[in-house]
Amino acid sequence: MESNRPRYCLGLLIMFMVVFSLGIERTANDYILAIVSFTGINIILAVSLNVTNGFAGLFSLGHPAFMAIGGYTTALLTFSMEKKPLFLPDLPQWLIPVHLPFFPALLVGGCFAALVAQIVGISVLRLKGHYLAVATMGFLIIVQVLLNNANSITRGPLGLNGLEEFTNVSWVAGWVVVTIYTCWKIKFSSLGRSMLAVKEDSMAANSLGVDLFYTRNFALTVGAFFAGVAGGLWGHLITAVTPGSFSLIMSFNIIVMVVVGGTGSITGSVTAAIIFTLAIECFRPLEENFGIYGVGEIVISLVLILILIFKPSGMFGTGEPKFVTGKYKQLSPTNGK
Amino acid sequence: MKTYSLLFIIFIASVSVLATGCEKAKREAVTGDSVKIGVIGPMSGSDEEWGQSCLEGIKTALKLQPTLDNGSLIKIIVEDDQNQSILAQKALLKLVEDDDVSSIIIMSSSEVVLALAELAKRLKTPIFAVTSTHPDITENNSYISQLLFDDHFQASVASLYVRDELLAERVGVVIDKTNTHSEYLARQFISKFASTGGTCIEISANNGDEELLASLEFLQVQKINFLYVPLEAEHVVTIAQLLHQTDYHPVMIGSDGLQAMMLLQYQEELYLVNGMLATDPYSSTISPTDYGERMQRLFQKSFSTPGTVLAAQGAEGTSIMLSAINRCPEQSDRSCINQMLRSTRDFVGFLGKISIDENGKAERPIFINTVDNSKLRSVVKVY
Repeated sequence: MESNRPRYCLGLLIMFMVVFSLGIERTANDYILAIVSFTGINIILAVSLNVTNGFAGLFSLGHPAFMAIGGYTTALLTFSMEKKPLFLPDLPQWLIPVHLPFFPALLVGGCFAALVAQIVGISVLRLKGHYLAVATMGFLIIVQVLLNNANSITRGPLGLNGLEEFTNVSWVAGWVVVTIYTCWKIKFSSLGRSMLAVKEDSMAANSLGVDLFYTRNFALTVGAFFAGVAGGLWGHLITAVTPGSFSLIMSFNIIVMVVVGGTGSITGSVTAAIIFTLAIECFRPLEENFGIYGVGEIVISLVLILILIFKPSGMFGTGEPKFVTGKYKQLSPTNGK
Repeated sequence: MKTYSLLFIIFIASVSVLATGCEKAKREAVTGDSVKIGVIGPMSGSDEEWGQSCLEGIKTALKLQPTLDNGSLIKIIVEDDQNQSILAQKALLKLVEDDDVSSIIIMSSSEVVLALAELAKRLKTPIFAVTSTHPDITENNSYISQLLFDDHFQASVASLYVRDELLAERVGVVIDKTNTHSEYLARQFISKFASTGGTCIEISANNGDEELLASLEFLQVQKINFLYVPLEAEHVVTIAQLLHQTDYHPVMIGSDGLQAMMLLQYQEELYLVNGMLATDPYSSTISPTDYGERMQRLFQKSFSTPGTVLAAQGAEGTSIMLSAINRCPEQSDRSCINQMLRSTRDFVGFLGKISIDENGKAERPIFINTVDNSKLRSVVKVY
């Protein structure tokens, strides 16, 4: 019998997000609000990468590339009509009158990233393991080079700045709930089990009728969609998108969150994203007072090494904790319904 | 059990670290009567030396002037942004909202400063960019001012010098397309050079050493004797090393900060760039002003080195900011500080007078320096 616990947890999560976002927006200063928003965006990134890396076992380093695609698309669609001639004088004619409100722009950004993932997936997903990691890293570099060179649309390395500050805690909280809910539903669906089966033993899964290409491509596409949305939220939070922002370092940071949380565990990704984002901020006073800059990165790297040595499967392994799932402890392709 | 023990240890360690850090910050916030100035820059990461060198200049300026005219102590709060816009934004918010600084000195690159423009406007906090030179930084940004001349001016000076003084008709331009500074300078140089009847041949610095060598050999075949290299020191050293392998020795012309970084990071390779020219805000062969002399002495005493161009920028930026704060009746009034900063007239800096206009743009001399037997020598001063 399926436990009702996840539904209660989802209800609690929604209630918490509503109360939390309304409360904090009224009481906290801009700095705290920005940190909370960045935490939420990191949760979206970590959970969505978990679909690709954790559920389907595709070691992708290209998440920031999808984020960049979504971020730039959203930025171009919401860019102020008055600023367009000043900032983007060589913009193609057909793009000049295009303008959308924030929400549809975010959806278009996400969908465009997903579409690119579909296309990239056709060639890249024939690879496995390290080869796939290298190919996705190559994709990230291609996207960066394109952004740097497409001056008429992206302003090259200078990036698009002066974006409207649409993103706030409520927007981020809403998308966090949507991301967690969607990824949770996928994980505990037959498709999620197929993904896990592909990850564990692709040959066995194929012999049981699992369409390897479809399953992998779906995982990459879902991950890319949410990465694109996160890119849009990110750009409208810091009011600028630059090619240099979507780097391998960002890819490394998201992967650390997924690995530390547990590849395949949504709860783990959420927990790790919260811990890492807040930890880096709390290291700031330490850096200021003692003049040891970059200590946050050192500690994060140390934690990663320790986790890989003592608990290679991460904080929560591939499963979800009992307090969330009720009866399920660990998900495998053969258990559950 | 093992898992829970590990989780528990990580949790305790995290809480302890967070508690230590946050507690320290709280204690700092409640201390005495002081005016706080925020400093944002790359204090770690690949541009660490850049930020650290600039910070040494800031500290030297504060040694020279540790209090304001009314006796208030000046306190700086330094935040590391690793030259990344996301970290710079968080640092700016923290400094303004949590630390309640009166103004900000930023030592980051142009794209990072540009990404802060909207936020600076909303927070109504004056930001003084002491190293970034992109002209858009002060364009429609009422709260960001520049210490240096902008890239438009710098590239035009380089172009006219090469055309009129060195009598060059054709120049090779090496562009790093991933770098805003390089891209803008190169475009402006090409445009100005073309307007005076010259021709430029562009080559990319981003395609690897073999391709770059092939491009340089192509320039040699084309009999190009001048190379404009608005690049970071790392790229210029690579080009110099590649040229060293050939019998092609064109005159290279770089941009601001290049020679400073060469002195900081590539002392041993300086012989490779002997004769290289560069536009710069300072020169070591021009006699410094009184202010410059005092600052140099103090710097030498504090850090046992003569100091770099970046340190000079940090020092000048801080002194100009303090002068603006001193001219305000209420020394935490950010709008007044911004207004005073933008009405700086004839501030005597290291080598000459500096003014900042109402749009935040600096008017100051520009020098063309050369590397002469591993030392810098001034060639010309342009007002």
